[in-house]
Amino acid sequence: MEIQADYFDGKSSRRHSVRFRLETNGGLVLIGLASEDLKRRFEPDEVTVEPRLGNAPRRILLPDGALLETPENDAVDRALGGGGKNLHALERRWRYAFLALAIAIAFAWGGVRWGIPALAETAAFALPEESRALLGDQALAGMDKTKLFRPSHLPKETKDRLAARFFAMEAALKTDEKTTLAFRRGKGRIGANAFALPGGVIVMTDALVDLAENDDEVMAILAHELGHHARRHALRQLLQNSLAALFVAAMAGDVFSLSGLSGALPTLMLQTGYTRDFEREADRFALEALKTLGLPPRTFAAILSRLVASQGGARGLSFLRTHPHVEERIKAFE
Amino acid sequence: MTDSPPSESFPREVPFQFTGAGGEYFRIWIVNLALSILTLGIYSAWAKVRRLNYFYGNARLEGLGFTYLANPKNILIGRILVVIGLAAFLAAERWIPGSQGATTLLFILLWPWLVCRARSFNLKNTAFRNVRFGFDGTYPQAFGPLVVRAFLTGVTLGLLYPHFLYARNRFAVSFSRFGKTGFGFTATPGDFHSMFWKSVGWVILMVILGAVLMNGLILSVAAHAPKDLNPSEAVHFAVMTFLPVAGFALPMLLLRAYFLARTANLVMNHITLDGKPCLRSELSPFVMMWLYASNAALIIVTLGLFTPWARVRMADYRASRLTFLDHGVLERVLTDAGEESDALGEEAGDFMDVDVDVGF
Repeated sequence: MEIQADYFDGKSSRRHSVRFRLETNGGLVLIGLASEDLKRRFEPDEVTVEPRLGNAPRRILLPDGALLETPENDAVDRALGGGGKNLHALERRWRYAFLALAIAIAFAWGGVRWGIPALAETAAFALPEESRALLGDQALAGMDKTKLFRPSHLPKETKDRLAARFFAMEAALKTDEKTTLAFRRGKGRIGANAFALPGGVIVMTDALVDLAENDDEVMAILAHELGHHARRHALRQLLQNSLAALFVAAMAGDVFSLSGLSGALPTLMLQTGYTRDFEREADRFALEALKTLGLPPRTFAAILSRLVASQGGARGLSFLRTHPHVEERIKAFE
Repeated sequence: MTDSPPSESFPREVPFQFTGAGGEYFRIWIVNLALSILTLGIYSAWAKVRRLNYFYGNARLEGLGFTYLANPKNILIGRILVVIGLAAFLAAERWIPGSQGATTLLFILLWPWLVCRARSFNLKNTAFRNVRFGFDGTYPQAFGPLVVRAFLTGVTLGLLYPHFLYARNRFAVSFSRFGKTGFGFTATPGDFHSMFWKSVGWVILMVILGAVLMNGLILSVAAHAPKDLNPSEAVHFAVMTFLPVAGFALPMLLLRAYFLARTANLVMNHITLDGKPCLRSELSPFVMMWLYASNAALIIVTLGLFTPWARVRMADYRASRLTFLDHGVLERVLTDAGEESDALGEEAGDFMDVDVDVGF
């Protein structure tokens, strides 16, 4: 079977229109080549048929840099005996494309859902103590700079009593990193709240202490915050944000730059997912802590319920806003 | 100064064609992406060559296609070296305080070298009619257009940007060749300046549009914010949703499309091969803006899956508006015997997006 092609000798761009035949042993014969001193017959080891790529012109490499270029991909495949198992066979069928799509989506989903948190966790626990402590100092200073937090109005005796009990609890739970307990008066919308900053700083507002019926309830909340600290949640959250953004940027790097913005939305949605995981982890820690200290788990549920009642739902920067999904968590503690 | 052809020989007009199809390219793109994932990224060098060859091979002149000849192994090595280099760069910044200035300076000095290597690698590994292209620009020749001009642009707050653009394109084109036949560049700095001045109206319009859209979005999103936030918190909330940023980004994207079309036309129409003008580019800025906007919207809506179709669409349009003017040169270009160059420059260029864009 003769196939139409263009012959290029490798020394100039001159195009020679020819026909060729591929033999069963792999050799090639050129037909209709005008010039006499150009070789006509090629042995199998002198001929390289390039793999097919869609319907792009097919190249056949000949010795001394010569080349045959033909658009007749199907004819070449038939002459080669059907095309066989190659990349084109995969790229031709829509079923493989869908399979590949499934793989890509699974990878993207898995990477973001599990890969990134795993990486962030490893990094957070690998960071040395000094750099985390530095982070903590800076975080607290930064927080104080915003006019939202003022020095606490609690009596010194209360603070000392709570601090002593807190550090005793910490020692009993054997969380071996250093923590700092900071009391602050939250202004305006902060209300009753407690949170763990990166670097081991746990902050508690006066309003929360006032809301608690006894020291046990305060300790329950602090145990939960200690859980955040022991599991390095704030730091992991920070790392996860950066990694997610990097991941989306890397994937989106394969597409037009504007779609990088479409990556911001999934990243935002991911954050709420991560937060839920962290809250559950901290709750688990708090549950264990209360058991160790001989306090009933209902203690935590009680203070949470009181928070819900006092604030009539999530509002502003309240505890409930920053610690979502309270109802389910209260149930876990009852 | 003038670029009309000599009157005694009218060139033969050979229109470019793009013969690729969106569905076909999607299958190739997604299969190669999956293989890259399954091989933890190692296959990605081969995937890149295959992807580029799809676009090169389907770009036709008289039925003949282009080819990308790079060796994927070299690209892989180049990528690994770039990652190592980047890591070293970041590590130096972390552990040697104050080194940031030195490393930045080093990078600026290195940049012309990277551009030369990237361009040389790209062109040497591009062939048409079995003849390779080539690039002969050297570091000293690159320094002026790439570093000095950039500096002058910054110093004049952007007023000398057209001249910078002129210098970059002239450097990229005039040292390129097809086989042994050299390209030339006949545009003047004045051509670039006048193009920018003529476009000032569009720039102003798009910036105003962007500001209006952004503010409009901030206000409308803030109006839908949770009721318990005070006005300043609501604005903060609105900004955080990224919608206002998108509102500003859209006119900027349109502006970019506009300039891409006009610059490509200007550059292409002033390229000569063997001393004679060889290209006619007739991109419409408005069609370009529409293509960019519609592609972006569809890509976002399909979470990126539309990308292969978008690329094919763009290639198809750009080919349809490009004509090669043949004064007989196509049949008589001689190949140039040169050594193979390795991929470090290409990968570094690709990684940091430094290749000088000549419109293709």
